Amino acid sequence: MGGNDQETIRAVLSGDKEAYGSLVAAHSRLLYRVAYRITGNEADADEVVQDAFVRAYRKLETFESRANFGTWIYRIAVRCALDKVAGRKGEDASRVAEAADPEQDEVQLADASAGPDRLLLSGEIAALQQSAMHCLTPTERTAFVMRHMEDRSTDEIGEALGIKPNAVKQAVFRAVHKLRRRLAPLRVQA
Amino acid sequence: MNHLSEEELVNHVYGDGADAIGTHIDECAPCAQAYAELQRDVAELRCIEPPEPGEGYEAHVWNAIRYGLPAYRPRRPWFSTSGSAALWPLSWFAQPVVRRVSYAALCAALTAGAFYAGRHWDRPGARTETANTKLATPQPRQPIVVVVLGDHLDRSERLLVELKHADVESADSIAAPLRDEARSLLAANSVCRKNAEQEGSDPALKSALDHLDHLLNEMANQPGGLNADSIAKLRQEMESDGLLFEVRVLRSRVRNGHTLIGNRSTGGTV
Repeated sequence: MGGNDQETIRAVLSGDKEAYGSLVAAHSRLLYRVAYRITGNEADADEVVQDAFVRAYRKLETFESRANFGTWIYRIAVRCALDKVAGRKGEDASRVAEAADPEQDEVQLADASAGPDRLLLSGEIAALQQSAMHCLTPTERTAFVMRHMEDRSTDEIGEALGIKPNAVKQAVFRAVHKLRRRLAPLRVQA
Repeated sequence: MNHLSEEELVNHVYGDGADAIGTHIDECAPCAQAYAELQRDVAELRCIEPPEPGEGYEAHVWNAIRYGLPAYRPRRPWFSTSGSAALWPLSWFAQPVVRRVSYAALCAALTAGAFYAGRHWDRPGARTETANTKLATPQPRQPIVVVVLGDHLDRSERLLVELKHADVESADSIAAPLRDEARSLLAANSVCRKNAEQEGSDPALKSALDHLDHLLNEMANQPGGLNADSIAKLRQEMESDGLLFEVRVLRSRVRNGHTLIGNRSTGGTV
């Protein structure tokens, strides 16, 4: 894949624009997945993927041949998604305020046993988590997604976000702390 | 014993904690309980699974962006002709690091070239000096020296002829031109004499230049300037020494190339 990517990039830089389509085909699904996880909806994820490929195309001359195109475009997509989330921060703030209604947190189910109740709890947790994700800052949300869901290392996250590893750890910690606090009302001691 | 903070526990859950944290958890019951609860909560944090984008998603993305992308202008390296191999140097030079290094190398080469050229720019003088002292065969420079010496002798002959036929009654009108020409020739004659002595040239040349030097010196530095009496005296001195004849003979020999006075050093720096 990597070797083919290098040949394709050379072809694109020599004027064969259509060759870029094969790079899009090879990496668009992976980018869509991370973009969706960070943005939280299909429309924004789709927009992020397109934006990432356009940005990468324009910077293709600066791409170092010894690097991996997949890693490079992944970082670009993360940055695009971060920008997208940061851009709608005001919109999310109002959504979080609605979700913070105490009455919504009154769903309390036991968490000690499996079975139908447990499955219902899982659905509730997923729904509330989805909502709680909006209370995270863009950096916390992106760092958490990459660490918890994409299983990326601290260094990889730092490179993608342009921050130091310690800042990544703090961002992940703050995200986990906020999410635990938001999900705590769902639990009662068995 | 201090208990672990929540941040340390979170880092440990994700594998970023130090080994000492694991040891502490094994030994500290409250921290072990807090860690277990954290593990449970983190495990319940679900991964967001995006909906499947569906078949043809790749084509959808490509079609959405392809018309807005300008094609890169193909640039072929000057030293290659065609084919994919020819594109390699282009992409190689397109790399920012390689480009910077190339620019730096080009600047260094230009600086070194300028330094080298500057060193050799001053060499002509040094080469002349070396040739004057070391070369045994004067042939390459001889035509130039003969012309210079011949020119000096021509001018000296004309001055002497003017002196010989000068009208002493109108000395005031010719005194200044004669003096100026004598001063001009005096400097050139001095250099010729010096070179003739260094090179061991024809004795006739050295003798003539000595006589000429004496006469020119008197013409150029006559106290109170030239007048009828001083012109008459100089003319008499010139004729008694046979200086005009000597100069004519030497000039003729130089012109015909039959003399040792064509030595490159004689008048070489005139």
